[in-house]
Amino acid sequence: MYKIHCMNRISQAGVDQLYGTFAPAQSLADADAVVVRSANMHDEQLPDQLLAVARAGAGVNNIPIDRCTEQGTVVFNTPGANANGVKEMVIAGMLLASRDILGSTRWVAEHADEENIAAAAEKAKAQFGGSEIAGKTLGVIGLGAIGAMVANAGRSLGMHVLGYDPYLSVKYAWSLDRHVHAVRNVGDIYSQADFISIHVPASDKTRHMIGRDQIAQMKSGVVMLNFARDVLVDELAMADALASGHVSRYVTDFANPITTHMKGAIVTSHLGASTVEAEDNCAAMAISELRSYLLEGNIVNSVNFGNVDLGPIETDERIVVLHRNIPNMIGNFSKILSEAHLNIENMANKRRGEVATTLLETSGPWNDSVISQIAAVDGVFRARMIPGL
Amino acid sequence: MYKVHCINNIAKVGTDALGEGFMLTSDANTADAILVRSANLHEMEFSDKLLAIARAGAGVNNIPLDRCAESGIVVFNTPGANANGVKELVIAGMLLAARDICGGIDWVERHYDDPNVGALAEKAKNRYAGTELAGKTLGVIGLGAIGAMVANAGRSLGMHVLGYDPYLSVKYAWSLDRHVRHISDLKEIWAKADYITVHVPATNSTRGMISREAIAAMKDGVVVLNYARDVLVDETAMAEALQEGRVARYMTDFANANSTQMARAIVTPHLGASTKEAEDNCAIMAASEVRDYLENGNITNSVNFESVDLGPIESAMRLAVFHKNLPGLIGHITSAVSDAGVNIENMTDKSRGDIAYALLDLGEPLSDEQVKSIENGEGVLRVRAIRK
Repeated sequence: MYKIHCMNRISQAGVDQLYGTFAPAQSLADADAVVVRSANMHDEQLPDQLLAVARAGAGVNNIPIDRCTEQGTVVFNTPGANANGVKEMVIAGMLLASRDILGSTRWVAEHADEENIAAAAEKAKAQFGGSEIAGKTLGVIGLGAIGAMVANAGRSLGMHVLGYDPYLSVKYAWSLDRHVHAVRNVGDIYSQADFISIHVPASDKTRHMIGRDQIAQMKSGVVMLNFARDVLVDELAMADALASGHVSRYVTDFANPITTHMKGAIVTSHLGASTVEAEDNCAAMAISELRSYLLEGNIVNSVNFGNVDLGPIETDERIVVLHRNIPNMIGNFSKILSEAHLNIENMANKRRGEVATTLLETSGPWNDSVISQIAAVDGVFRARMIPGL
Repeated sequence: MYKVHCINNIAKVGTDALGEGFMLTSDANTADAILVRSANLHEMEFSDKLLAIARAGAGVNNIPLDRCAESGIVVFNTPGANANGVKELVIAGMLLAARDICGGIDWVERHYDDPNVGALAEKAKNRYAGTELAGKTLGVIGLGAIGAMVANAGRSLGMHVLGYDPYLSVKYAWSLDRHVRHISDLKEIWAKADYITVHVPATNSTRGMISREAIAAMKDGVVVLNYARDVLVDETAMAEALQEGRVARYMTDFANANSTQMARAIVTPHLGASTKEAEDNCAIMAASEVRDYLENGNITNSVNFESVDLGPIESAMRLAVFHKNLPGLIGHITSAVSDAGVNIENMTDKSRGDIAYALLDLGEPLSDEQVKSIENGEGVLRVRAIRK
């Protein structure tokens, strides 16, 4: 039985699903697989037997991906599981930016004991008034699980919506309201949008993609929302734009010493996915990914290896090989198997950048030495045999 | 030239919408019409010249409706002009109730100078976590302009929506998402809804409709939203239910001595219609109602007279007659016209309570004396002769 270690507390729905099939590990050192939320694993010693790390959530900055890849540990995340939770925060963010609801509730709290509070409120309320989001233009950068939901929500709230995503998938294209206007040039969003919400992963390419030049192209009085990653925005440039009034509000889910000192920023304490539903969805999805990989070798939603899926195991055994994407690897594997008189019934191979995943299903009398022979091939990170049912 | 007096600050797009033939006056006594927002007119003396009062907004508690009706002063409001503004505040209210976003923001502001604020936030954030709206049940009481928009917004956010309105109009029924389930017994809303929002006018029959019994029948942990009128809710009972945790949140737009002392209430200072768009829409709508009434005698969205619309004036003269709703009065008016040898081309007459309003399109104009003699008739309150 595989042993699982939870680095963070996970929801009961997840725990219930986990320990029917798996056993709890005493510690990380003892674990075959790990479930983690936001705990930082960069300084952790990863045991040799560690097969998988499943992040219940989308961002994987807390996981040493390269180290995991080199030792053949598959890292999973749960894209989309928290999408509705984040979408609802973005809507709240737009509404809080449009009218000073927060300032007004504080005003009421400060005047709670005033005798004529109702009359005083009628006089005070003008300072908290604002505008509506209906009829305004929303620009959504990145139309993945979250961005697509945000774009559709904008439409249903009566906004004009511009969407930008050069890597738009068929799945999310399909889900988009047909009135979401796809723009080819992200500059169209900067020049036209009253609200801009960004939903892209953090990478070297997207770091500071909202920089000084991009902010300068935006309409005066624009509201910028960042419920994705703080590094996407050049926050020093944003602080300047807020101070000058060019950007009217920066609504961000990332508290740091720059954002907390900005004038006109609304900073939440990383609440995007902090809902019961999102946590349940993330935990359930992370565990189902682990179950599928540990018991069947299938990979769905990995961030370091290619996704492969041969369905349930219907042969005597399935071999899972994680290896470098270099010539003749499959030739090497098939040579080892044929020398052991094993026939290959099914095979799937998927590359991802420099690495690849190969699944092999064989028939014939099994010989344990083939696994050590495959593992010894230069460029193989890990080879594992899973017996069929 | 008609003269219009503004009592509150009315958006310029509204006064511009009055158009040609209208001028603003700072003297209420010379005005044909008054535009007002929330100023209290109960103690105000109205001149004999005053024909109309238009409230840029929905609530007309600040205007003496009966006194105006008796004097033949038509009072208008602008239902629906602020509907989207209120709808957006209701959505914000639901989201702020579902997750303690305000608490999270306050936490960040208290720790703004801590260099480790990001790491600390990861530890603190559980306190401000909550739930999502999608999949929950929203009960909407009152499906007028605002309630219908709120119900549709709930649907588009993935909620199950129950709607209650025994007086549902065809117009709003038409606008409702077909998945909004129309229910006929409020008890079903108390029993099933996770969020309950009320959008009905304040009347004797709606006062206290969110009563102690209603609150007791609601689900544990329900969120109640009140962006309509404070008197709709028994706020003493609400305070107790919040204290005991049976109601998770009371979101109200009405700051008063009760609501400001409640545990777990989030109180805004009457911001529902406080958007530029709502103020513009209200002002434009009020101006166009006044214009159509002064120029054509047509009544749309009056709160003290029924709607009457004969379109623009096509005949030589249009006669507008306010009269008591008594037998024989219409006969008196029409025979006075035919005695003058003038043909009636179109006519409509609508009553509300004791008072009725008639519009008559005439083939030829009446003389001032002939108009005066109609006005002097028994039971006639006021007559206007409008020339094309």
